Amino acid sequence: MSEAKKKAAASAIVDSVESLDALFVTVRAAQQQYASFTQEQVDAIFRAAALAANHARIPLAKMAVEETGMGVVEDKVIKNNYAAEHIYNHYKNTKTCGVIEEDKEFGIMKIAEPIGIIAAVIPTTNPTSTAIFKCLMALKTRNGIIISPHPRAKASTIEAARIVKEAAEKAGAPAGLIGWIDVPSLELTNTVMKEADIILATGGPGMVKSAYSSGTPAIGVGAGNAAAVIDSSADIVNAVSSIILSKTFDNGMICATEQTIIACKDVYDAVKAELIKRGCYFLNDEEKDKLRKTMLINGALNAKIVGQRPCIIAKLAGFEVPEDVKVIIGEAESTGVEEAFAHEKLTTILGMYKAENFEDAMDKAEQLLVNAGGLGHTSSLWIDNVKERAKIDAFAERMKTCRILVNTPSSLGGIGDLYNFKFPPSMTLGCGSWGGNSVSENVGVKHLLNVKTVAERRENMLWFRTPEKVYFKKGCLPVALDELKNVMNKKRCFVVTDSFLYKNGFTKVITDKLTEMGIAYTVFSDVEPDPTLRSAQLGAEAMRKFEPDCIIALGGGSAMDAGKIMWVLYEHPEADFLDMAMRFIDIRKRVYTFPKMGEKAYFIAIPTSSGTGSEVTPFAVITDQETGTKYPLADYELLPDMAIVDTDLMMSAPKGLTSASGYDAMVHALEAYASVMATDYTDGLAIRAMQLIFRYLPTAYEDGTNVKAREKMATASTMAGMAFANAFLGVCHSMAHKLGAYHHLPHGVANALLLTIVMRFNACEKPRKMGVFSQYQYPHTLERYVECAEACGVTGKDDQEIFENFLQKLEDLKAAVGIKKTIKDYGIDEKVFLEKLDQMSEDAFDDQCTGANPRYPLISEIKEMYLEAYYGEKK
Amino acid sequence: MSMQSFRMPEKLYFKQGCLPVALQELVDVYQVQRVLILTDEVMLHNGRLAPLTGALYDMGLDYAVNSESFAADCVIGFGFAQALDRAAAFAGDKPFIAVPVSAGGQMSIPAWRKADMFILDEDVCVPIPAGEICSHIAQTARASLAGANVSDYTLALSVQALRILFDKAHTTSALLHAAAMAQLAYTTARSDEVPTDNLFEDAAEALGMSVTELENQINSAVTAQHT
Repeated sequence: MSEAKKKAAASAIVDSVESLDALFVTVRAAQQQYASFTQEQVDAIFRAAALAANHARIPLAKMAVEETGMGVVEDKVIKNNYAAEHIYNHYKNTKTCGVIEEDKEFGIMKIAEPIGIIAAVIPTTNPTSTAIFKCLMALKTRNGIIISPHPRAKASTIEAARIVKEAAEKAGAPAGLIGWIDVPSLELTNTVMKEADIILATGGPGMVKSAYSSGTPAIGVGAGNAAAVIDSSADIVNAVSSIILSKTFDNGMICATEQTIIACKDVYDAVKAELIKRGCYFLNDEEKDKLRKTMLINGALNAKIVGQRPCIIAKLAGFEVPEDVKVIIGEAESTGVEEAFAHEKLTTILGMYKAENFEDAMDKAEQLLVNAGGLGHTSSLWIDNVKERAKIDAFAERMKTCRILVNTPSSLGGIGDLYNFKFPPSMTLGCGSWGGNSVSENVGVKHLLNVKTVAERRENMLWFRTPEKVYFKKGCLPVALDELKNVMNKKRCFVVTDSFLYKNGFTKVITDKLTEMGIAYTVFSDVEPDPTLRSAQLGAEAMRKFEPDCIIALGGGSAMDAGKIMWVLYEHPEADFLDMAMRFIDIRKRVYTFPKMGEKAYFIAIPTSSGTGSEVTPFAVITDQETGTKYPLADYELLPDMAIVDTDLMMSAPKGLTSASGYDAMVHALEAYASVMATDYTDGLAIRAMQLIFRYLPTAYEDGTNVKAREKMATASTMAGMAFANAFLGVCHSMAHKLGAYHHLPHGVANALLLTIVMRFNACEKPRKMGVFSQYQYPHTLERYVECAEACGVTGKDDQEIFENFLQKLEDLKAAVGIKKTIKDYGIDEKVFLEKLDQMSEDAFDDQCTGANPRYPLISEIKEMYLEAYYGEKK
Repeated sequence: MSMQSFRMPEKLYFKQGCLPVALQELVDVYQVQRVLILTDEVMLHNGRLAPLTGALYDMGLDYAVNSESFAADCVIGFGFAQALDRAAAFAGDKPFIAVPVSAGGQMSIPAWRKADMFILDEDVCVPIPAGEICSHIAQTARASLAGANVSDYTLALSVQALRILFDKAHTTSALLHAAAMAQLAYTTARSDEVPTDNLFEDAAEALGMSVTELENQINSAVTAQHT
């Protein structure tokens, strides 16, 4: 379109759908240009427009009263002034262009964009101030605006818009950004709402409904019906004068204005006397009936009384009141829809109710909202706000209104920023879903922007945690225990172990040392393999009687796990295992907060076999003897305070235990290395553990008396424990847990049978689903295994060959330490295995260890792996 | 020698941007109210304290900077090695949190030894040229291989630090962790004055290279201008 045509279009009279379409073209072109303006340019335009509107506050007020025949010039001056000044002041520093919020640390940014063209529907009650408000909002948010004035107020509304438009254009806004319908009709209003990008409708319920029905996103607000509840504790003089001020403001046309007073019985007469004293007129029964007939016509508010003074309203109803009466009051009893005084009146008429007590007052206020309209809008309360906080809370809870004003005139209070300075100023008050609205606040710039959130990928915080003290070396146990006396001054020590270790004198070195140091002790030696909740409860019971300040758990995984659980039950008897054992995705975001440990006792873990790593992990598994359910607990609160790894205790471990637990440590290291949560810290420990296990496990297995081999295996096991304590495990452990539980295979053996199958599954470079974790960027598990392989001296011509050779090396190690090849080889009946397979696969999928696996497994894939492990070949 | 030990700060937290996340434990776990920040003079004027003080402010905690008379229930050392040394000494029994801004450069041994929580956040670190970091890693890792308390644990960390150092494709953030691992290993391995044991050969073997090769690689990292 040429410049000349544009100008012609901009100045053409909009009185038809065609001319409205032309206006849209103009406004849209201007808005597209305006959308690229900077915050500085926008703020300068916003300021100039606000100033111009403020300058015109008196002529606009006069014009509005003259044209509509409603309201009070002096009050409209305040409204115009407010719409310019308070809106400007509140939003002058608000960012509305481009980046409005940025947090570099968290990598998140918010960008504000304009919406496009606002269809602004302006009511007769506030024809100039609402127009000023909406035009200023549009300017601040870089939107265009087309105003649809009310037919009864079109001249003054258009004049207000014109003043803002000219000032804005003079300050640099693109020409034609603000437009209006010159000759309003229902058809044009509906068209503008349909064609615009967003509707900002202020008006009666009919208008709001058609806005929401237009198919265009709408912010519409509706009718109010504010009740002012006066509690017995209220300052009556203040309440009465404030309500009169509020009610008479612009002859009651602000939608937040009080429509009824509900006064508690004991102050009712005082309130009434004060109202009369200040110039209100109480109607007699005859006048009330006359007025009821005038107020509502066929259930709808009579437009003739809106915004009028009492003497004029009385005349319309057929009676007289003195010219200086401020407000007409009709006392009513019914809060039902048939009572005219219960409704919104938008003029100088109040209904008044007597309540039995505060409870009854709230009931009545609620009934008025429900029966006579105004849900979601405004309610107000007059009360002693120091002594009666509980009543304020009860009122706030009961009222389904989006503005609940305390000791505040509700008309001027509801529009914000005049009686409370955190309450944003607005001429458009949202009523929430109760009022059929999409917004429940005072409408502001944020409702007229599209806010884009730019969220950059960030990595989760990671950690490396170990027991504060780890002591090791053959024969270190008594030396390490010295600290109990010398450093920590412990008095009572509780030793947890199993009966085998106890009977074979493993506890003697501990108890001798404790005796030597003069520390009292007791030994609990009833821990079973796969420790049960019952035995842990028995142990905790014994602890509560003995009241230790130090707990020593000596043994394999079972004894150390049982010790950890007893520790929890001793310190926190109220703890609920179901909650503690709840599955989680992120250990730091879980719903359940683990109780704080260590307030009663210091916990020392001492392993007697090389494998579980429990002495340095935050994990423990306990079985419910009634249901057979295993509760795997995981929380860093369960991390022992001290670990003592003394090879002397491991020299007599039998071959089967050495191989199974040794291989378990290998699986710990490999799963921790492949985990999506692996870090440089866990990598270093895991690799060293693998190197040591490859080199020393066969010797430790063949010759249990070889001290160096035993010692290196002990170290490897603890290091692998540290690695998986922080990086966690994977689906091999998930499957081994269930294979062990269903078919009673030793844990280490179950892991060994599955390991290479799971590794091949994980190494796939196009997995069906990859593990979900911010740090884990692409399926790189093959590379990771190759790193392990190379560190363990495996070679090959390419990654694939190195990987295959590595798997062979792991199979060779298995054979070297007497672990059979398949599940079948362990005598598990095929029929029984297949019967339980589906359930076992599903349970393995749901195991806590699955989450850290680099490939997210399908249940069917787990099943296939089980089958392969059973038969030794793919089925 | 009848006993060896491996000592770690109770909690080591890391990853870019982790500072405010980790500090949330001040409220959630340690339940402190008044935090004393000890920092270097230069940090008072370069704007680098803002992420820390901002996080404390957001959590509603009272804090003071370098004001030792402030009745604190928690001490945060935030800055270069000197500030961390001072904070470690000053903390006493109060929770002590160490936040180095010179990760990859000079280290505070007392901070590694005493910290309840050690936070490595690249966002708060002063950039150090990669060549300098590499040289520092090489020297610290080599030193960490000899000591009275060297073990497979310290070796695992030292070797991992060297593995990252020798990896041509290492990222800056991997280098920071390599430096931290070398420092951790050093702090534990050299717990007394006389280095009685040396794992240099084991390190070479673990890295799959000869002793000479390892020496050469370390030397070249110590001296080379990194490009």
